[in-house]
Amino acid sequence: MQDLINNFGINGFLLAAQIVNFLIILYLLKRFAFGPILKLLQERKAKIAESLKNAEETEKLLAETEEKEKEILKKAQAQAQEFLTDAKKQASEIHEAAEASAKVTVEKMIADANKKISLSTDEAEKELEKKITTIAIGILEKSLKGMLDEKDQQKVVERAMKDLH
Amino acid sequence: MAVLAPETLIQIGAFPFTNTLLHTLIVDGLIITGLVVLNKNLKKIPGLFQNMVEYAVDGLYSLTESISGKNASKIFPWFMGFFTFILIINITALFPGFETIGFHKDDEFIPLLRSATSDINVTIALAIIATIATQVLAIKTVGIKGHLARYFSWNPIFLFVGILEILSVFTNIISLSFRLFGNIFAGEVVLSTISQIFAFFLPLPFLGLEIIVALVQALVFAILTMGFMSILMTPHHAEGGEH
Repeated sequence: MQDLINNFGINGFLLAAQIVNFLIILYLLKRFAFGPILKLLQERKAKIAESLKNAEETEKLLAETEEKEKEILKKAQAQAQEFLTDAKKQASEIHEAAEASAKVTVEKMIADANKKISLSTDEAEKELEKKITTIAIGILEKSLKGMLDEKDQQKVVERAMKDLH
Repeated sequence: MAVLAPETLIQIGAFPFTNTLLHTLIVDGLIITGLVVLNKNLKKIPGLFQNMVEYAVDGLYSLTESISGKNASKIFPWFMGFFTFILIINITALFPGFETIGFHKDDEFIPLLRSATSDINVTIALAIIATIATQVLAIKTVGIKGHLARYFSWNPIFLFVGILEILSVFTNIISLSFRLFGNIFAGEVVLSTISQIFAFFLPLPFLGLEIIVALVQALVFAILTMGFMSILMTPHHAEGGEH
């Protein structure tokens, strides 16, 4: 046994020195390498998980917003279409009304004109008649002058006037 | 050439300052420098070095979680500590200058640097720490009563199994320490032998092999420790129910 120990160079002091040495190195490694790095890794892992979650949420929000946007656009389009239809309808109504009123006015104007024409024609006729009567009576009076006495003259003129009217 | 025991550089009283201890101190310096650099620039958005460390820590933490479940946070510092320390020792020991630069004393060549894990003192120290840490963590997790129930029982069969378990605690120290020591020491012997046959190009494939061994042995030590911790931190009855 002693030979074995001597051959291998086993030495209590060296053994103790190595044990102490390794324990110190182990403590230093744990304190300054594995500890902080494991902590860092865990923190990073948590952060990555959080970032991924955030990204997912953002994506979801984006999709929602897009959908909303689409919906609003659709609504706006529908409204615009409605407005357009309304406007067209109104325009055609106005057009129709204007046409109708114009027709009425024109008809009225024509009727008025007709009436006026007929009125003036009547008047003219009447005046002509009067004039003709006057002329005729005048001619009659002139031609009867001297042929009949005054009483007959009067009678003839009166009869002629009566006939003429 | 190849001597099992590490060579003493300076004898300080009863304390032999060996070339393996010098290597250990250099590795300590490297680790502390790395920690200072890391903590100076620890940022939310990692740089190259921080990214590498983060990648390693994250990957190995998931490994720990997949093996030991809810005890991962307690086991991880030990697992990662053993892995980091042994890996850096093993890899730096492959740098040129190790076992080759040295001085002569009494017609004997004494290399200035030698891989710390090719010193049985280092591997035994690590194995003892691993075993004690395992026991302490187990007692803290399942309680002293639950822990002792693993080793002692009135049932003769379980009592026998318990005695085997006690034995395995000590064989674990031996197997952990000698596995690491043996692999690294053998690698050094192979490299020096091959270099003596032909020093150019010929050692390159073996050097590549030693890089793999360096990584694998660090991982094996750390994962075995993690496995023991994980098993002992599970209550005895729950474990029994699974079988």
